[in-house]
Amino acid sequence: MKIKQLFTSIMGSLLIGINAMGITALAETSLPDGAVKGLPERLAALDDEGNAVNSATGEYFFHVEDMQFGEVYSKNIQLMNLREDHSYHIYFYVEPLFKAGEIDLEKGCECSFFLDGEEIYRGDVNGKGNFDLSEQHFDCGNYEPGESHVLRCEIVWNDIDVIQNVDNGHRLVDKDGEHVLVGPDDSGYAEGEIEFKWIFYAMVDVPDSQTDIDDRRNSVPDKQDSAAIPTSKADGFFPPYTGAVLKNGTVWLAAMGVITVMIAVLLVLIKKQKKDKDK
Amino acid sequence: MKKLVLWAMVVILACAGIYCAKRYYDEAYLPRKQLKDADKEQRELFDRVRPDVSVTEAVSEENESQPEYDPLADLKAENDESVGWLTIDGTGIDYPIVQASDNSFYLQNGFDKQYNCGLGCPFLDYRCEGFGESVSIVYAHHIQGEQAMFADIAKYKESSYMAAHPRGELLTADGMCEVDFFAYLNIPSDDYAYQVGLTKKSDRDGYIDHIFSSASYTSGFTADELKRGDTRLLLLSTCTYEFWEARGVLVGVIKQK
Repeated sequence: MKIKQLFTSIMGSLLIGINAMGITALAETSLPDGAVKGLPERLAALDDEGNAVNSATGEYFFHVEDMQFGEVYSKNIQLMNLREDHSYHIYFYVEPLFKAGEIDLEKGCECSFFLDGEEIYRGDVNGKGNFDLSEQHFDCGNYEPGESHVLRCEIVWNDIDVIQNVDNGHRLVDKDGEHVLVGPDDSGYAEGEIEFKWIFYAMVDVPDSQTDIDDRRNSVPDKQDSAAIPTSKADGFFPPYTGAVLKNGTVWLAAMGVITVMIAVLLVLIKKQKKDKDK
Repeated sequence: MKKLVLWAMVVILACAGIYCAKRYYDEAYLPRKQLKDADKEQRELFDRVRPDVSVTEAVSEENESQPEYDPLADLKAENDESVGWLTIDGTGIDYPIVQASDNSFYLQNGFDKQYNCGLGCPFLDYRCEGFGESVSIVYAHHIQGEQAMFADIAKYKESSYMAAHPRGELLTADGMCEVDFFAYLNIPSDDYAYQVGLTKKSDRDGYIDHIFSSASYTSGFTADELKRGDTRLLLLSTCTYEFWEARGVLVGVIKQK
């Protein structure tokens, strides 16, 4: 089957974070106490081209336009723990952002995740599938120092029904034995867009990883009647990371400056050579 | 021949220059521009939704007998997770405060709940129940080199800045409050100052002692004064960059007007 002149856009962004506490059995979409977006040093996530996709603000790591029906779009991410001191558990959940347009891509697309080749999730891009990634956090396993795993994501638009109700003069017709979407003047155009976040975060693997988040949430160190100044930490809670350092591009500016000077020198040499030749 | 080589070098260098310009644009210029645009857009939105304090106070007095009156009603019409509006005169801090079910959503999304390039929107710690508890913590971004969100909180590191801007106003569902700032903390992220839910008096007293002992400086109040009565503390927290996971926290006392 072939669909012509359809425009679709599908985007996913990846966020990775860290928590210094261990928690399992997560049942809420919120990050657990202490999990903040931002990777610890030397915990890396790289895409196929070797680009880091782990900034605190997230990266568009899956972006497909002019999506073709039936075609599988895929992306690999290599998650690596390059630290020597801690092992990490990596968790994953999905946060839908928005969808728009005439084509319901949430309904029309199927999304699969594979961890080291083994399928771990199959469902829609917003996390509703063999389990609900918008409600549950998936444990991608423990990463010992030096360990790495490959997470593969595949998305395919496999439900043609989502364009049946597109009401802009389009219709599916059989042309030369193929189903073709055509508009009133054979120039069909329909649009669908969906955006979502696939959020990954890491947590240091500590022995009390079974601690229930709610138990820790309101527990205050029992000081009884002692008014001694507390020296303990904030009970495992870590405030969100509210910082960001933007690159100032000094290296590239300097390189441009050097290149400009070199070009200028070369042009002078060329001119001088021309002068000498004229003489 | 030599001339040809020189021209080839010029072309190669020009290509390299274009590549550098592209990297500079992608890595340095564009993110800053996106952030500035997001900030400008959000400030325009704030201007549209900012509650008129004079009207709010007048209506509040008229409606004293009507406990259901909510001065944040208009704000909540725009964002149902609005819990307040904070203003510190003379600083850039004049923002709505929202509260989500986690401490991550408003790190990336603006007041309109749309992704805004990681600028976020000031938000109340999800563990707090409004501003009625003994400790309420509000977070917002401090992006290094940018004057957005809580960038001005880091300026309170200098006590002279506190002396110049010692007071703020906090509009909550219960009406207008005054916030008297008295301490600035430069602490690690796992500090006890981030503890909430202090139900016992002994815990509250211990917490106040901790604030005073870990503050860079204090002014205006003593620990004993704050231990009397039901003191409500407001902590404005953001990241600073003095050390790994450093936080700058401005602490004030909330007083109902």
